[in-house]
Amino acid sequence: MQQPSPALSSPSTGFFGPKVSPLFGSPMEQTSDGGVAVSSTDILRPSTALSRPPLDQEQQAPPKKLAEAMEGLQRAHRQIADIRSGADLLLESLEIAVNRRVREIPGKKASDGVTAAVESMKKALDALRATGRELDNSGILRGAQQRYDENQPWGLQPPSVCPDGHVTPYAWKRQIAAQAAASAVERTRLALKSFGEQKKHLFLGVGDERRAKKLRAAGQGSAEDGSLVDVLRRIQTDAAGMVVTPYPRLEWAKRTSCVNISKAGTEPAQSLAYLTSQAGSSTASAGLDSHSRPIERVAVLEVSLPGVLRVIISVQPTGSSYPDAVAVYSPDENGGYVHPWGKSVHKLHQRISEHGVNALHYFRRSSRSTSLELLLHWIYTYRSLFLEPCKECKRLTALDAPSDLLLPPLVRLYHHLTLPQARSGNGKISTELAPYHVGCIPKKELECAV
Amino acid sequence: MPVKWLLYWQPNAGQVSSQTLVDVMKSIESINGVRLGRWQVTASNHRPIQRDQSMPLPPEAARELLGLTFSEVPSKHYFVLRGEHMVVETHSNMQNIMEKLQLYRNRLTIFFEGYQYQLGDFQVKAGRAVLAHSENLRGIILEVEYVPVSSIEQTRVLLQEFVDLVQEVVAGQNMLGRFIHLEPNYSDYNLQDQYGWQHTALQYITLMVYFMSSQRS
Repeated sequence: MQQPSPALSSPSTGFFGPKVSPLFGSPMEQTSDGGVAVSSTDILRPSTALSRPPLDQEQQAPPKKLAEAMEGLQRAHRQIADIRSGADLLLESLEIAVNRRVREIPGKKASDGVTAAVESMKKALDALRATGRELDNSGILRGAQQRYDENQPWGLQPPSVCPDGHVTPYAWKRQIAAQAAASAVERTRLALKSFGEQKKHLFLGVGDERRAKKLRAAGQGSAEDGSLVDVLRRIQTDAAGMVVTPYPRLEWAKRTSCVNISKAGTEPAQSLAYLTSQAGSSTASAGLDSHSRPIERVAVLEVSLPGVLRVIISVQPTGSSYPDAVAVYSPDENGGYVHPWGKSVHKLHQRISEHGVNALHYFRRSSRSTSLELLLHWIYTYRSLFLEPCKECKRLTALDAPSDLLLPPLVRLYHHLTLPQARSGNGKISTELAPYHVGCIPKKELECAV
Repeated sequence: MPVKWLLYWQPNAGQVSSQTLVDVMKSIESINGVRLGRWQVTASNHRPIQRDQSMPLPPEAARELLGLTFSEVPSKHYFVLRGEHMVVETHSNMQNIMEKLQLYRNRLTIFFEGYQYQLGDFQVKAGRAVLAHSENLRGIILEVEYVPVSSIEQTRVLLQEFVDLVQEVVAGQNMLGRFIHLEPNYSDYNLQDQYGWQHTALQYITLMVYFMSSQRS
């Protein structure tokens, strides 16, 4: 019969105590215990496995769960201690019973002590089983089992030293940081790519100036330059009340970024500045200038019908008179989205923009050289947008069935628009186009549309 | 700023009732108006405080101050001075200053409040006018605005047609009466064709004065 060594029967708050750290700090102590320690390592081992998880899970478990788990583990410790002492008691009582049997002490049955010890032992074992089940249900034992299987039941993992010398307490932390860095790099790359694409789209033609210059130098000469200036000049006389202001592209971007664009106003004098400078330099000798003349930098035209509409046209390449894109806005709109490829906030202007794009393509196909002038004349017919009723139904507003919007007559059919030819000094020549609602366009007009 | 027209409901017979407002809102929703939210305008009438009855008021003091606050621009306060033909825009602190100075007293206040709807490029505000502190219903009002354009002359025909359309819808709901537009004389107050908050202030004050005078009669 083994004698329980006195060193092991420690009070329950000592060896297995509530403090978990001594176990980690001294794995050697446990293995250096005597014989009983060897035989009771089965009890020891689960307890260390039980007691290890809370430290690792401290960062993860919420405080309440952690407190409950700690409490459960303390109970388990006490119960294990009870079982140990119960085992001692059992052995003692068996010894006493044997002595009693030998000495035949009357009045006391030999087996009393034994049964009492057995009872207390059973109770402690039941309690331990119950606590164990409780802890199992609370889920803290899962990791413990895993780690036990991995054969690293005690001690923290040694801190890992990465190739670049950085010391991390946990290897997985380094992995997560590496993943975060990789995704940040990926995100930056995608952002740069999309910015490059947008730059090409928004600042279209910024790099084209050199190309245009080369074309001009190759002998096409000042004929192209002249046409834009001529167009602007003609429009000023033909379309009184409509103000066309040219801008270099960057100037336009600056203008839309200022808050109150309508207060800034459009000055006819600004467009004249482009005209006079061109007139001045046309007599100068041909040849490349060291810097481009102002008319060559014109990329955006702002056409304003006061009180009615604003139309932004983009000219491509810069300085020529080939319109590239057109968009219609309300006179009050300002903001970064007001540019030749943008869309207005109002449904009415969106519809007119679409119509305008169709008109633009038609003009470019039919007569390339005068397309800008035709477009400007077409826009000029819109000054009666809110005043003249539709030719077909004689009303100003009509319900547009599919979209449920009330719209004024915004269709001006452009197929038969011609430039005013006779300029024999008999005053203003007006080209008027009949207004129609979108749903009121007569069938025969639609048929002759290209 | 979008052009607005302020209309009030004139029943064919009898008084206005809250049911009218419910019917108006139903008819707007029947033409697919999308409800956006609430709105409120506070209009108040101030008279000068005369502590000493024997001393007359200084000649440049205004006899009557009609003040307005819009829920859409809470930082501004508007005054319409009918005698001097002016519409003044001030900071909303003005009300505090007036209370502290104790020069003018608020005689009465009317709240215009209701719901706002959007129909394409038009926005409609339907609401009622009630006297403060008594919940006395003074009238049912409708404010229509055309968002894209700011010029009053350009939108005249357009808004008239829209109002006619609303009248038709409302009549279809068996409501007897019509909406009337009280247009103030803008040029009298030195206001331009470009619509702004001052025009709106003038329209509301004109309507408030109308409601007060119709109550007395």
